[in-house]
Amino acid sequence: MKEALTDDFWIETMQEELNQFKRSEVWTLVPRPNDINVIGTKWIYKNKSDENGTITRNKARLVAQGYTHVEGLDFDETFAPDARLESIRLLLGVAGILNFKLFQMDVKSDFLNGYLHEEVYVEQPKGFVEPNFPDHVYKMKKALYGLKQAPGAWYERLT
Amino acid sequence: MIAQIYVNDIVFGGMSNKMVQHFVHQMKSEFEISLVGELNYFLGLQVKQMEDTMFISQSKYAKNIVKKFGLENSSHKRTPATTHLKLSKDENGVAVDQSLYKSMIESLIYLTKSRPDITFVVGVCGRYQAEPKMTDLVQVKRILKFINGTTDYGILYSHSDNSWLIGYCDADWAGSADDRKNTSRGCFFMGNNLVSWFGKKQNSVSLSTAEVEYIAAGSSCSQLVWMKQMLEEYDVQQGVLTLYCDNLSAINISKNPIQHNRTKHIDIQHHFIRDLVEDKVVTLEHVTTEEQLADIFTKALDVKQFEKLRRKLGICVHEEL
Repeated sequence: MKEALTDDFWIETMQEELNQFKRSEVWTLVPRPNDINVIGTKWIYKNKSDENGTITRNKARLVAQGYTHVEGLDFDETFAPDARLESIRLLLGVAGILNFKLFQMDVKSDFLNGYLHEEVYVEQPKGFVEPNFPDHVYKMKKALYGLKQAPGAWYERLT
Repeated sequence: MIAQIYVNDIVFGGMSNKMVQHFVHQMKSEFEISLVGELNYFLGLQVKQMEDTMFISQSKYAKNIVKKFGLENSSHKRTPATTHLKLSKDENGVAVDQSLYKSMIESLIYLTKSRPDITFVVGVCGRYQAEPKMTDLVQVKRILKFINGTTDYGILYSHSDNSWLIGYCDADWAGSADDRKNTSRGCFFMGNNLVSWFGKKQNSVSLSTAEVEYIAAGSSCSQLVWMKQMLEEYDVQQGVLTLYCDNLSAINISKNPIQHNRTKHIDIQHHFIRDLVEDKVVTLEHVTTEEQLADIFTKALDVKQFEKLRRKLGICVHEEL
């Protein structure tokens, strides 16, 4: 994290993500509310690669700390079914039996399309705090990755 | 027409081309869509669609990990483990580099997405991540050597006469020698297409094999019911679901509501299977040990049995690759 904050390249990708937020009106800076819980944010750095393992693009993504996931615990559950994979295999099974082709599509800027109905506040991201309003927080208009509400907001748009 | 949504990826298809076209058109007018094409790579799986079959594999990934750990020139092994696979901690063994061991395990876990034939042994080796010993490392390397000879293997999905859901369940009795807990295992098919499999440590220490198998049957039933519900959403109807189990006593417990000495201590939560059997949602059938497909998830097998079960699970090399 600290390394990334001083690395020009990553700073640029983080800035890009924040610019995207601005363009899509994801949030607005407001004074910290008194009685509402403010959710932390953190940066996730990802090198996206194709099936050969070649890095195709780098991405910094700001996520809400909606869940705490402790790695290394419950190892025995690692083989508990991954619902996404199961459902894709089930879909393959159906397509195999009914004999039809499967296609795929990719919807851009995914979660940013979803509007939130509840009031959600998040902390300003580390390293990108507004100098004039260091104690302000962001009020979310649209969902952020990691928010429990995020998938719901997106699915709602789809239906 | 079926569309399955995975966050921002959508996989879809249908019997009617017209409806598929319409769906694409509709989506494009509502959202910014970046890629539309035949499904060929998804969630780390390579997908190959042929005239009447589909094949998923991770062959490129498999080759990469074998190379990453420097085993690409190693001799090929025909099974991922010897039949005398050690199931307990090696207290006195020589310690080895933990981070190397962990990274091998992690790489292999990812590979089990399309390679259920290594699920069992990867799971066993995974237990020793905290303090891996030389014997454990030798075993993990053996898995990689096995993979080295089978990188092109994957799961075949094909047309079959029926689309019934069937499951096989099994349990290993105190398979984890260190805490004496049992593991439920099962694998599930739609027609002859392998859809899912699982291994889950049971929370309780059980008093009899029948009880252990009974608990495994319970977990497997919930899996089957979930699959049935998914299929109903796809408008594919199911009749009575069949679950194969090689333990007659467990089958009898499921059919016999009379409490007796051997079963009265079994937690009530495991008895929902009785309702499913009574309501004819699920039927438990006996299967001989030889035909028990879940065996490949329960123990280390010899070459002959391993290759036979692997073939029956639909794990193979696709000829055209």
